[in-house]
Amino acid sequence: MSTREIMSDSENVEQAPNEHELSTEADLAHAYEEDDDDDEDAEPITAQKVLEILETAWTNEMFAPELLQHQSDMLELMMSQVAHMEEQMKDLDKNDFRYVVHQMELERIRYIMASYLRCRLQKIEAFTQYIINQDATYDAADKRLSPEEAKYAQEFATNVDEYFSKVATRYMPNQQRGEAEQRIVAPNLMSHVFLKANVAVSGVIVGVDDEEVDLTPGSQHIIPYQLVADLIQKNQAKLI
Amino acid sequence: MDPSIIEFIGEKSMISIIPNFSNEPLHLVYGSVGPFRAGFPVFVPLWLATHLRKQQKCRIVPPEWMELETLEEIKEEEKRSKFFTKMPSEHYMVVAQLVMSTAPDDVPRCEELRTIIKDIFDIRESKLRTSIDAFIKGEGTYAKLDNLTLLEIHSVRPILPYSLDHIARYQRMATASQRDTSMLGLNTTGSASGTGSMSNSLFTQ
Repeated sequence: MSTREIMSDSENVEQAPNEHELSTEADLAHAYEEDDDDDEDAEPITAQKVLEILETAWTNEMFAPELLQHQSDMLELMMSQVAHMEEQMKDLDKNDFRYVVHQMELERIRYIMASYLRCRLQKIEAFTQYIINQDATYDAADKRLSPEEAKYAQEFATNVDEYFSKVATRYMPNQQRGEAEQRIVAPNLMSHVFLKANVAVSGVIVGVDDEEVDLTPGSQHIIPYQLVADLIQKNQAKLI
Repeated sequence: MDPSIIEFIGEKSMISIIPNFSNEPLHLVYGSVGPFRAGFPVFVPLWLATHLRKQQKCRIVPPEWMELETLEEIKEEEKRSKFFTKMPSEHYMVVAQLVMSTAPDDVPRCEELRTIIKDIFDIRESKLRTSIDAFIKGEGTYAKLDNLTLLEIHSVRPILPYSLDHIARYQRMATASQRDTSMLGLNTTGSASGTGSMSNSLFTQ
């Protein structure tokens, strides 16, 4: 078995997310597969690009105070890719050079995905009610929580509430129980973050007194998160 | 964030190795590497290079900038300049550290290089501290940080954004408490500005 079979993109890619772009990319990967060995410009752009997107999402998520848009589509693609590669690799000798290197890379990818999801769960646990409330105001297409995360958040909130009422609040006089809204913990959106611009952006407001600057590609800044949240969303800048 | 994550990210940078074995190209998700031909240099990600080096399967070719004269120049430039100069690599500290710890024999004059790279890092760190001091005293909320590398940014992450957040919080609190002092039953303006100046003085010590 040659190593290039390992790269072959899984069939699962097609049944994954209803996004047109994704399946086009999958086709690209298939084209690459059928291509001959010496064809240099048919790089396995698909998986590489997915990985890039995930890496950016990972670092953004680590540094953003609030929960960002979920990436389940990309995660699913990557997981099927990883599973597929492992399937292909299981016949290789464990000491084979190719096996070791691919295995190392898969470990790295798995780490990125796990760390990314872990980071999101931490935020969900810290700001549960806030995130649930926020998510209710978004359209179905812009939900920050993936369906699984939404379920988790909901259960977590219920459990915390139940626990508090069991051990404490029901023994308290009514007026001390307070309103549920008062207990909502919200992230500090004005916290300062480090930012790197991907493209030129002009007229970004950088201070309370409406001071504006133009960001040049590759330039780095420290700035309150809320002022640049939309740039992150639009992928015009990333957090570092 | 853990420094090991910075290393993890830095390990993606490409470095040249001379393998002592031959193998077809490998199609990694990150992109293809190889073909490997014994005796011929090939570019691989740093994580692969260090792994192969540990297995005695290759020699690492130090990057062009990892050379005494170049680094002397960079050091002088860094001393002269008021601003941060552009480093030869976005992850120069990570690359230097990994290459020199896994393959000290592959780097000529390794010890001297180690010292000079540390010098450059120290000069930059102290420059960074001075500018942060000025920045916070100037009560800014925004600054440009061009040419700072990830590790350097990380070295001030625990203190800089955090103290800026605090200062902003005290400011908000001061304004809010001027409007409404009755809600908590105390006047927080006094204590808030008191702690505010304390966090400022952290930077002057």
